[in-house]
Amino acid sequence: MSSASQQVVFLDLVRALGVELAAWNGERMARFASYPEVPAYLEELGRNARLGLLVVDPNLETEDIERALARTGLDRFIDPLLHLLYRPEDPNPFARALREVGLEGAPERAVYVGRRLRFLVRPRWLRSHKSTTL
Amino acid sequence: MAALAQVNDALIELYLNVCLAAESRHVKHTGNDQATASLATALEQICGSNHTFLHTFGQVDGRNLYNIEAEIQGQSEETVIIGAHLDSTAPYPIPGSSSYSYRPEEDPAPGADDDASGVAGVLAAAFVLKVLSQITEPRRTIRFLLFNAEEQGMLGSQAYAADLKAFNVSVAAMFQMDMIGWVSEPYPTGPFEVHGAGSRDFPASYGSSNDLADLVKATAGEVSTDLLPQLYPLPGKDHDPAAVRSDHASFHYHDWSACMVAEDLFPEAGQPASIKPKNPAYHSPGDLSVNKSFAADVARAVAGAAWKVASSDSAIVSRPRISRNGGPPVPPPIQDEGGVPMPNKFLVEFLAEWIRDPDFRCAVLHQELTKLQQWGLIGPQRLVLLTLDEQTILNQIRQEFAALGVDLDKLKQEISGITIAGTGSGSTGGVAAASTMYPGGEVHVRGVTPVTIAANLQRSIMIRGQGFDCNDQTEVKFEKGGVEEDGTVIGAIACDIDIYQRVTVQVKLTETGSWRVKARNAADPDWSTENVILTVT
Repeated sequence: MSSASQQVVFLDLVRALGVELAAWNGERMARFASYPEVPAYLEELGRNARLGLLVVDPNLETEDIERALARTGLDRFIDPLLHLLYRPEDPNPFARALREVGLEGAPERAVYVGRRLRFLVRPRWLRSHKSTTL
Repeated sequence: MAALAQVNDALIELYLNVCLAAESRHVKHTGNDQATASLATALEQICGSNHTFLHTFGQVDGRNLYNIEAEIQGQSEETVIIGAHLDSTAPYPIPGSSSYSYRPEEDPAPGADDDASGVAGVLAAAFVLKVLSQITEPRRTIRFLLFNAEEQGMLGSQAYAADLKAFNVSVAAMFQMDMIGWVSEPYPTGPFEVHGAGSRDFPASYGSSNDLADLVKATAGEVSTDLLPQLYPLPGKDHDPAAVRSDHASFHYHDWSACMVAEDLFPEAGQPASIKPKNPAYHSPGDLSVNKSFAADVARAVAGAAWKVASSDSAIVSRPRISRNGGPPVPPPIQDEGGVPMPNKFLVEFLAEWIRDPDFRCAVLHQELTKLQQWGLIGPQRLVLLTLDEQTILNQIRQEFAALGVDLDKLKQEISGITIAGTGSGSTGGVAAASTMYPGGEVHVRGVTPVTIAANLQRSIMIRGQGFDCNDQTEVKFEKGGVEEDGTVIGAIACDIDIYQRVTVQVKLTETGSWRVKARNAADPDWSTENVILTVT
């Protein structure tokens, strides 16, 4: 349960904490590598906030996530009670995550760092270019 | 390289069929998943299951999107990438039919030319380079990438390139094949395009990307008698019309050398875009066919160029350099002889210009960013130059030489009569290797001062150029509309710096207008070809 002053940072796994190269034989997270600077960032971030995982993925399993965290050593930064895995069909994963940490009434205390869940966005550096892709 | 012949119509057709099995590969269509699976399987069969992976980068409508990566390991981790995009789109109606509203989730988007042709090219290249690598292990690692969501703004490749950057992977070269399946006339006729980078768009990778394009062009001539490579940017242009229009741009963004090959897409010099023939089925449900011979020829050229880079030790594309268009003139490349690395030419040239030209110094001191960008100065070099005093530049040059292990004293001995200034006194020094740079005796005229003179008056003018010092006698003449007037060279040729030497000439021109300045060494039958103009008023 959270305290009133708690701040939570929810982190996506893929392309937030690291890179996934999935084996084509179907095993997810077979080759997950955290970005080099991530451990230092998480260490710093963890001093002031509770860190959780918020992963929305159609076919990832909890075991895949835990295997990736253990292999990269990131498990020591992430609260084991906050390995939240939702399916894309979930209408509002952020609301569910807030409920999970008791912050339904204080969303300003939570931050999500990760990929857009519903749509794709052109990267910022491309938006200034008027031409379209071939 | 003879193995490259295996990239033929049949191989292209084989892989084309793998790609075209799905009726659409739009990211919103489940055919995208189907194509990803089929293509990953095909690459796995070539490169092996331990070397074929899906790079997860995004989701759309609850489905994961993947780039497909397959690898041939080389002796080093420095990587050469051959890529194409696996996704497709079809927002336009079939030519001749009425307008329609595209529903990407369910409508067909076959994308045979765009870019199943490129995908088939990548797979064919993988097939043949795997064969070559079993004979000779490449020095550099080769990766084959099928990018996703290119049509949404190169999302797959920009994520992939950013991840490479995050893990400090060094990319030696990236070759993109996007639309290599259509020709305006029955093949073999019609050109294909090789795009490097424009200096305006990607100054840091401008030179080396154009070097890559040159390499593809040269290789095309070796692997096919039918290909007519057309280089972009076009001569005199500093912008590439394909800039930021395919996945190679994601690599330009990170300052890596990248080029793209495509069918004949963009207008040639002086050709109105309105009359430019191009694939009428582009981005339509009618994009169903590929000229396999043409695609095979282009893929063979790319595979050959990639193999050259991968099997080479030399840093032919490791440093951006000023070349071809837009930037200031440069001498021919210095050959890396006996494994001795040469100093950073940016800084050598910059110093030369800095010492020679007070206006340039003034411009730089006023932080004329545009010019610096044109020159492709990057990172710490640019920072140094923007905060420079002369001593700082000289120190930086010295460090560059030292870092490369070049014996500065020895180099100085080779540069007759030239010293490297250490005091920052401006006009007293230079860095040069003029005589070794211009063994061919070729003269280049690069500028004239003043640029305007009065008619009917004897005037002394100073011509700047290269190669004046290769022969005792330099001849200068002025040409206008077929009329030629000789100039009289007076005084000694001042060859105090490497890229510009100076010769003073006396001339009297009676007719007003624009006179082209030409020069040659007396022993050389050919006059300089540059278009340097002296205006007479």
